[in-house]
Amino acid sequence: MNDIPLSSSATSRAHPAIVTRPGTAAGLDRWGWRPADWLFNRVFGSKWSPLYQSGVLAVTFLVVTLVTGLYLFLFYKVGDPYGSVAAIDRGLVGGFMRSVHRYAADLAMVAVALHALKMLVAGKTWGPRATTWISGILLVGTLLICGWTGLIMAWDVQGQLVAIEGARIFDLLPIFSEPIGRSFARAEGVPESFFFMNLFLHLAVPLGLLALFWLHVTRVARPCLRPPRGIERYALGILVAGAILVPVPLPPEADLLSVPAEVPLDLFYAFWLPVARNVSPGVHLALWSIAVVGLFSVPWWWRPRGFEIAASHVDEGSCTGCTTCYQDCPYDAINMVDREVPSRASAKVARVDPALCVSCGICSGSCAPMGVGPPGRTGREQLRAANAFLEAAALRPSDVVLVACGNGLGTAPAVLDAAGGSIVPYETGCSGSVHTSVIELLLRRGAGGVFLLTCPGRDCLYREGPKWLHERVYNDREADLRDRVDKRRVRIASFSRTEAAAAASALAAFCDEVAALGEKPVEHEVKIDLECEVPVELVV
Amino acid sequence: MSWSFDDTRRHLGRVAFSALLFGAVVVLGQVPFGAPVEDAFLRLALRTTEARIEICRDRTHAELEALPAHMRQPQICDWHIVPHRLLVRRGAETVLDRVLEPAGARSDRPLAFDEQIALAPGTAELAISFEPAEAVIASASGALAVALAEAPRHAISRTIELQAGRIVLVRLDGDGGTLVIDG
Repeated sequence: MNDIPLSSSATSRAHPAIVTRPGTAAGLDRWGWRPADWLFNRVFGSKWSPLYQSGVLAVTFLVVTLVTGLYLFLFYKVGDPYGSVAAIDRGLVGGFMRSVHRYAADLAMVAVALHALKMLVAGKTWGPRATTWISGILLVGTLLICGWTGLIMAWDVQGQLVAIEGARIFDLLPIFSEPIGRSFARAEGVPESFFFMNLFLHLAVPLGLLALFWLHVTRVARPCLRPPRGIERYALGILVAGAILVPVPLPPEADLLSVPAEVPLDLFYAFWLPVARNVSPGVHLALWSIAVVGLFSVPWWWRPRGFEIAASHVDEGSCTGCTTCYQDCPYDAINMVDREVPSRASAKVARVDPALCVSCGICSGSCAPMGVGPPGRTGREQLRAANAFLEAAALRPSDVVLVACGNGLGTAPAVLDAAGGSIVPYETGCSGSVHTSVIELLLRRGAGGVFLLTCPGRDCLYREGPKWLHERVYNDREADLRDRVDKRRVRIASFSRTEAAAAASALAAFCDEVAALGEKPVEHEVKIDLECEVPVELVV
Repeated sequence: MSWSFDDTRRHLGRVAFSALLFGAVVVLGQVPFGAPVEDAFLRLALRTTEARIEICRDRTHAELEALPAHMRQPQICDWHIVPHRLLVRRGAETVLDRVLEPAGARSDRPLAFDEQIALAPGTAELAISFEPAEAVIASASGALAVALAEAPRHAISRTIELQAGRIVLVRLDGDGGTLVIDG
């Protein structure tokens, strides 16, 4: 192994990963998220890990609840809620549909909770992402309302408890002219109008959910709405098999003149009932208020202190109006606007909206003339850093440079030590921000090979880094790796933070392949940044 | 694509792990909650608009003349929601003694009370009364005193069997009618 010290940030880091999360998130990551990440990657592999598909799995399960809910709606009667649910439950298809409906709703909540936790751990909650976080919390709220109204619809003992305890909370709010709790203070049962209103909410709230969902994904350029087909089929298969093997039981009917001794609680939605039974409604309402305010204010208190996002900027003199950065930006933060200073290069020029930019740097990697990117991380500045790195490193022809995304596995000692061979670590920000000219420079100035270690596609902190890197290196996307570069000496591999051993093994294999290719000539004077300059005749 | 024993083992592992996770979801979706109920309950769910007392008088000619033509209502009314006292006794024991004040920022909402009281099971002689609070009656004068003297007073006494886990519901029949015990 090369003797470059890992701590030598001046030489081993091109542009370090940006701090996006507060210090407390690191503890949550270390003791909560990462062990789960490790476990799921061990079982499923990072490509199939449900933890990386939490958002889209939530959508999948919600679609299932919608479809099964429409079926159940056909047989539900507001005049006889429990009787109609019991009749549905007795039928073979009805019982199955009800079980799928309930389990899908529970799984949707699990997926939503995992999704929110993932965002918290990654610090994807503040700055330009605040709208997404807040709309996500609103989505959770509407999902809970759907769940509560669903539990009440069956009008079993659990539904009764949810309705009565929920009414005790709502009756503290000065929003109803008459207490809702009075609906349950009747010997003859709850009026039909209550169930009609409940059914209306259960059907109408999902429509609000759709509007909020649009708001939730509107800040990203290409929202992913479905999991990979294999994972989708697998998840649905487990759901269907579970509903057949373990049908959801129907608890006893609600009785307003009885206090049930034991109620089967759905903790995914009725998690608050144990609290409600043990504290006064006022205290319970206060706890809810604290939770709601706390969650909505996350963008203001769950963020790194003293750190502001340095938005990308465009060097309009270099911009050729090719629109690649505009297309590649995962957050729609770049627009093509009319030039203020005319140029023969193009009528339009890229312009970054700082309010939307998360400083991922993916635009840096997309720009052939290296005219866009966050401060200090444009293609030109990456080349400067790479040159400094090369001066210090004095690569040998057999050396493989490990270009690793610092947001993921990075140049972890676990990878370097296990891989063996002549590996020189070079840590960067998101892999999608790495300009292909850096890869070319590393190879032309002596590296035997370049191993690009990225995060798994669905675990990228900036959504699309590995995808765009792959397109530029292998599929001739604008700012592509030139044909003059021997692509056998370049390898892109995706591994999660908990797959150091597998990454090391892939790296070692690549080192062997590079060694088998033999040595290649070394160029000492490479001026790639000048080669990519916009021709003078195009600029006024 | 070749299929190896390792592949089979990996897939079985995934299925087993998924089944475990699904099992956890099933269990967490039906967690038994609660404990054997040893008490009986008395639920008092009262609401009345009849606690509102309106006192009206005719405007004098001079008062009417002083008003613009479109505001000359011949009668002027003032109204109060009278606080009521709710008293619940089980035999000689007072279970609840509460004065109910009208709710709302302007104290103009109907009197309402909705609480559940735990009682020891067994036979109980319940005596419940719901009537204008003595303090209000004592301080009233003039037309208000007359109206209060005519205000409805509700009371009911009955021997009932209180059973563990069961709720006896006490309510006003209709909007402020008579007291009723259900259950």
